Amino acid sequence: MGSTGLSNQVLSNIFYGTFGVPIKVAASSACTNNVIGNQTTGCTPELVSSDLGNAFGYMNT
Amino acid sequence: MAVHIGKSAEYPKDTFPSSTNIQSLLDGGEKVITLGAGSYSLTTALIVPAGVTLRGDGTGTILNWSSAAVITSMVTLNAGSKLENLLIQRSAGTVTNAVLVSGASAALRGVYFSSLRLSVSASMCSVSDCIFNGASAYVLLNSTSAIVSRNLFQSTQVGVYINSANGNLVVDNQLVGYASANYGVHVDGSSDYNIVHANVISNMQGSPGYGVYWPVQPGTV
Repeated sequence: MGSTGLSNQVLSNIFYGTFGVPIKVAASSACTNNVIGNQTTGCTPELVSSDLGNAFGYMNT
Repeated sequence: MAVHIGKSAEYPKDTFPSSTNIQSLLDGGEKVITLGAGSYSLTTALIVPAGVTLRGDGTGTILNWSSAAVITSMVTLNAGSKLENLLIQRSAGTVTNAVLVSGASAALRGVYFSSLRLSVSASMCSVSDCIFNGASAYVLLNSTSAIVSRNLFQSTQVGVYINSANGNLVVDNQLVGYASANYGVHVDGSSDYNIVHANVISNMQGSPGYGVYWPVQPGTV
C-alpha cells in the first residue's frame, strides 16, 4: 500500500498510570501535544517521531 | 412505522416473550424495532437490513448468544442500519464478532460489548457512546473513514486495532487497561492517515504494554 502523502497523527492524548511504553510511532507520523504523566514503574517513553509539544510529567523509571 | 417488543414503562402492556423472533421483525419492513427489558436468546445470527434500526428502549435489553454453536457474527449491520442502546453477551458457544459492520454508513450507539468484539469492514461507519468491557472486547477496523468516538474501553487487552486501514478517526475515548493489557490503540504498519486524538489512555501494563503503538512508517509495509 502506498502512502497518501498525508501523515498519521497522534494528537493531544493523555496517558497516565503504568505502561510498558506510552507511545511508539513511526518517524513520519505527527506526535504532538500529548501529555504523558504520573508513570510508575518500568516506563520508558519511546517517541520515534517529530515529538513536538509533548509534555512529560513525573516519571519514576 | 416502528415496532416495540416487550414490557417497559412506556409500553407496560406488551407481553411478547423474550423468545420473540427478532429476525422476522427485522425483515418485516419496519424501519425501527425497539426491544424492551429482558434477555433475548439468540441461536441464529441476526441480519439487520439496510436502513433498519434495532435498539433497546433503555430499560435493560440483552442480546445473548445461547447456542453451543460456533458463530462468526451474532449481528450483522447492513448499509445505513443502526444498533443502539443494548448489551451483547455470550452464555454458550463461540462468537468471533458480536457485531460485524458490513454496510457503509452503519452506526452503533450505546452498545455494551461484554467480552466480545466489534468488527468494522465498511466505510463511513460510526461507533459512539459504547462500552467495551473484558479482555476480548475491542474494535477491529478493517475499514476506511470510520469514527470511533466517546467510548469506554475497560479491562481490555486491546482497545482499538486498525488493520491496514486508512482515514479513520479515534477521538475522545477513554481506554483503561489492566495487568495483561497490551495496547490502547494498535495501528498496523501499513495503515496511513489515521488520527488518534484527545483520548485518555491508562494502565496498559502487559507485555509490551503500549498506550499507542504505531511503529512502522506508512507505505512501507
